Amino acid sequence: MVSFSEYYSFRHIIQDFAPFFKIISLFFAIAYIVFASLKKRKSIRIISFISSLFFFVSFLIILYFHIKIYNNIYLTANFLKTPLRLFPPLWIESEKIFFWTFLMLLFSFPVLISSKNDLEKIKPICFIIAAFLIAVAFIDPFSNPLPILHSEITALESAANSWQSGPSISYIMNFYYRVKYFYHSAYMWIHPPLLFISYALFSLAFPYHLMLIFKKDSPNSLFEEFSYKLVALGYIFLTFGMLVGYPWAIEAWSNEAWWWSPKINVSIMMWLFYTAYLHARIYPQNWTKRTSFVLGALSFVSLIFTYATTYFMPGVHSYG
Amino acid sequence: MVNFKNSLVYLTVAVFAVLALLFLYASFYIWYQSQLNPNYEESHDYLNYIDNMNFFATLPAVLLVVLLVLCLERKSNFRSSLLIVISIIALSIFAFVIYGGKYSVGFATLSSTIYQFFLLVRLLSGSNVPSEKYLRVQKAGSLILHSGFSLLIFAWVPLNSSEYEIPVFWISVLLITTGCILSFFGAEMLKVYKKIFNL
Repeated sequence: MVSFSEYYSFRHIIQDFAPFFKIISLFFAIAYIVFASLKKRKSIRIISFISSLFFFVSFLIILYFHIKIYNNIYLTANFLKTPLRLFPPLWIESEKIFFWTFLMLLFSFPVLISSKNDLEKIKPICFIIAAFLIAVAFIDPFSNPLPILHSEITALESAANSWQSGPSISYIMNFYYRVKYFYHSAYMWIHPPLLFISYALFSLAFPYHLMLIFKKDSPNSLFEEFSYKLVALGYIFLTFGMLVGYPWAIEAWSNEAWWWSPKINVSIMMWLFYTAYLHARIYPQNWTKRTSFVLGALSFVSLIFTYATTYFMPGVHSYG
Repeated sequence: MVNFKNSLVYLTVAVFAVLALLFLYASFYIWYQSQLNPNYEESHDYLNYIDNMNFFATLPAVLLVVLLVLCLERKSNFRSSLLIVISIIALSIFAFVIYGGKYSVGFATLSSTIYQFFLLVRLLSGSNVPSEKYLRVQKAGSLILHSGFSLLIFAWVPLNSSEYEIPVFWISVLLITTGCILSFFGAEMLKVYKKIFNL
């Protein structure tokens, strides 16, 4: 008789953490907005430190949950020499937005803490972080941890307990391949985290582009330079991350038509927008600069659209 | 004042925008078709859709390859460069007429990769050096980056599904990433280099 009871009980424990996480995240969001609006430089430093620390602790809780899964969920079968254990990546399903926000907090921390950066420079970062904190309060990783994997685990448990039946054997085989080619694929541990690093950097650049678009007098060179560096750095991670996905797609979807599928399309669209932004800045003139700000903002809109596509568009990347 | 260099950049941005819109259209098209038929992706129509999209993307993709080659002139800074660029384009057209699109793209991308490496060697040997050191690093980065993209298209089009596709693909990834780092953070890389080697 196979039982994953220890996993279930720990899952319940971290679900109890969810309301606390939501309230604290909302509190941080309000604090960022209030302190940035009231121009409280020192308070922003403190809230940046505490919020980063809180998210780091939350990340450790998630990590511990994944270790629990590794220790408690296993698959034994005749074709396996040793039981197959599962260690899910830390950036899937309900943990995506959390991971994204956590990276934003980490990257913004040195900027917000440094006394070199004046309030004008850091204000836009405070607002975008607040927006993400609100989002993560509503789509938190604790209320329903890894829902798809959880349903797979419960189905695995019942399949393992009725091992002789045909559907159970086929389910166990499917689970085995899913662990091998999805959760434990080396690409899974490179491709998504690189993309999330780029997303975090692009997110931090977005409010600067918005401000540059709506500023009527000459563009703030500090904003321009800073947002450009953020996008340029993010672009390196995005390009490398997307390219790494190519051999994975060939390997994992060899029998499926994945080229021209919606998620691939919009990801390339987003990459093209950021590439266009960087090209528009090669020979900066006044009007090309303005175009680049619009392209920068549009690129971020396409990023959000790309992320959301997974949930409402069909295709090989779909969760729908 | 719009000169040759600027107009190349504007054209490139415009082609990127057209391609981006095409990808957006494709996504919504699939979404709409899937609303009408939930098994659309398993149907024969889906294969037709892929063929159609490949067809629509060909023109902007070819334009991008041409722009990539034309940009070489911008980067060359020597007299015979225009002649070399025109020769590459003319021979690519010739290859298209005689052997077809795959060979044409193969010739254009491979020759532009080789030519960019030649320009890189010229740059590093000091034949074509910008006055500022960091500009030199940036220019080298840009050449490496664009040669990486040429090689990537070479891997995807003429080498598609061959045993060489993935090895050439990884070389192009290495070039693109290195090129991006040098081209966007040339000054910073130079500082790090000086710090490490106590220059």
